Amino acid sequence: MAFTAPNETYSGKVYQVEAGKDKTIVIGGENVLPFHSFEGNIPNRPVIAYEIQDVPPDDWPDTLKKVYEGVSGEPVTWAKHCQDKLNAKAIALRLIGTHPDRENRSAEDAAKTVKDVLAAVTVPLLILGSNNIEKDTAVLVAAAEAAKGRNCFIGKAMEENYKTIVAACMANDHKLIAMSQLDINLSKQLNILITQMGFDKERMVTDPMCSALGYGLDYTYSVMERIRLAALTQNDLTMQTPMLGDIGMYAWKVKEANAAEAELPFGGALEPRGIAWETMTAGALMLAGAELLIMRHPEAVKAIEKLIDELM
Amino acid sequence: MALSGVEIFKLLPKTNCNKCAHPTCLAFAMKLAQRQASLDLCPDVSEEAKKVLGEASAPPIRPIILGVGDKAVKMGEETVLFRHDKKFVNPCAIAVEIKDSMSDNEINSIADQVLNSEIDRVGQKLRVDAIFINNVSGDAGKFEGVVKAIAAKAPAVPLILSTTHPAAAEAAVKAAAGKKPLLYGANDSNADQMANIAKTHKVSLGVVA
Repeated sequence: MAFTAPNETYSGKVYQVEAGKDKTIVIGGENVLPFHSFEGNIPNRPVIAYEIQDVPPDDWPDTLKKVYEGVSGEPVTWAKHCQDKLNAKAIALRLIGTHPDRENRSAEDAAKTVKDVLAAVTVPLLILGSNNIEKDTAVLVAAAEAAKGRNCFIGKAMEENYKTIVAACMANDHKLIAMSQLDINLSKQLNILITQMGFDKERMVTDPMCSALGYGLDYTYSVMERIRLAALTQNDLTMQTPMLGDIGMYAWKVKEANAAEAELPFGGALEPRGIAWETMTAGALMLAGAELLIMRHPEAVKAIEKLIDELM
Repeated sequence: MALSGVEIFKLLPKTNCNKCAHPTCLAFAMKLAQRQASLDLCPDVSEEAKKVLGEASAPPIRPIILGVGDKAVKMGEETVLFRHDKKFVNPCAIAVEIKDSMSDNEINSIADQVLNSEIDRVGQKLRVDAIFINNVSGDAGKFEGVVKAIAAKAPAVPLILSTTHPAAAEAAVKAAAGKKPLLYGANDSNADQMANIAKTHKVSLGVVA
């Protein structure tokens, strides 16, 4: 008796979101679970954005600093390096220097950085704040204005500050990243609040909050999986946004990506271990449904691109 | 297929005798349906009910146990596709490969690494679960020799014996007698012979298509 493969069909579909002006990226659009191309249509592959920041990466581990030595002192050269040398499809500019506990750069300074970077690169830009609730409202509004017409992803809008950020995205024609903290209900609620302001739900990306391998990855994985199942099987219109995995920031913070071999003898050499940590975190969340990944190490990016090639 | 609480209730004695420490048979049936209680708790259940409930409660993915003793690994027994639906029961096992064409030094070095691979991560013991011995040489004697050497050096580590040659399979399974290895594997052309070897020596069989 021949085997008949079960074939699931879903009632829902993930929105297709496009960013960028001259060069664009398109994510989402599929009507099946991640990489289930045998059941339906996956028009776009996941996209990886290289992370850079407005201030030198003094807080990044040596493994990463080494890779960007000579270019990371200044965001424009860093962005050009990612675009021209690493063939980045998108760049994520994190305005971490605006955080009051860091350099406390002003919104005007941040806006200038955004303008300078946009003048230097053609690939789509993700503009991220420092995740400081109050400061981000000023910084991201200024950044959104500075980037008007370039169709960027702007975020992260959170429950406490989404109103000003959403308004700035609407006024300046950008896409929005909405972040909530590891809870499918909070994620859904934030999506609803944002659309109630008149923001088009098809211009959003959801970040249900990342966590690194060994440090709660399974929570993020399950939240993403449940969001995607709600989108597809229940045709829940408020949960059909593509999802973002902010991988690098979380993966490179953990002990295993930073500790010397003497401290973690089982883990082998530090450099490949850190790269593996970012790769595994990114790979897992991509399988859970993330379509947009923010990553740091070129070797980890390469490994994930290869994985996508094999899975598509 | 899993039965509902009411379906299970119909098979119970309905005496509400409280011997299972549940107030009523229905309450016990509900716990059984949620897999929070075991049927063994009921001393009066009929043989027929045991049979029906036993079959119904078996997970659709059957368990496979590789190896014997403390380091034996259990796989399968999953009842859900998604972790959030319930939980995953057995983590998948990880094995490293040793080719029978490798030098003794290489083989020893890999076996040593496996023996020393256990780490404690926040209370969880993680290690390389098994050794996959690959008969790349195609030679039965060589394969048997390597299996013997590893069985002596790492006696507690579960083994996967990979060959498509029945003669090599037979020799290797004998060399690993009593260790419950996985024989891997049967394919289109050797299925009958491999199945016989696995049956005779009571080992699990991997099937490749």
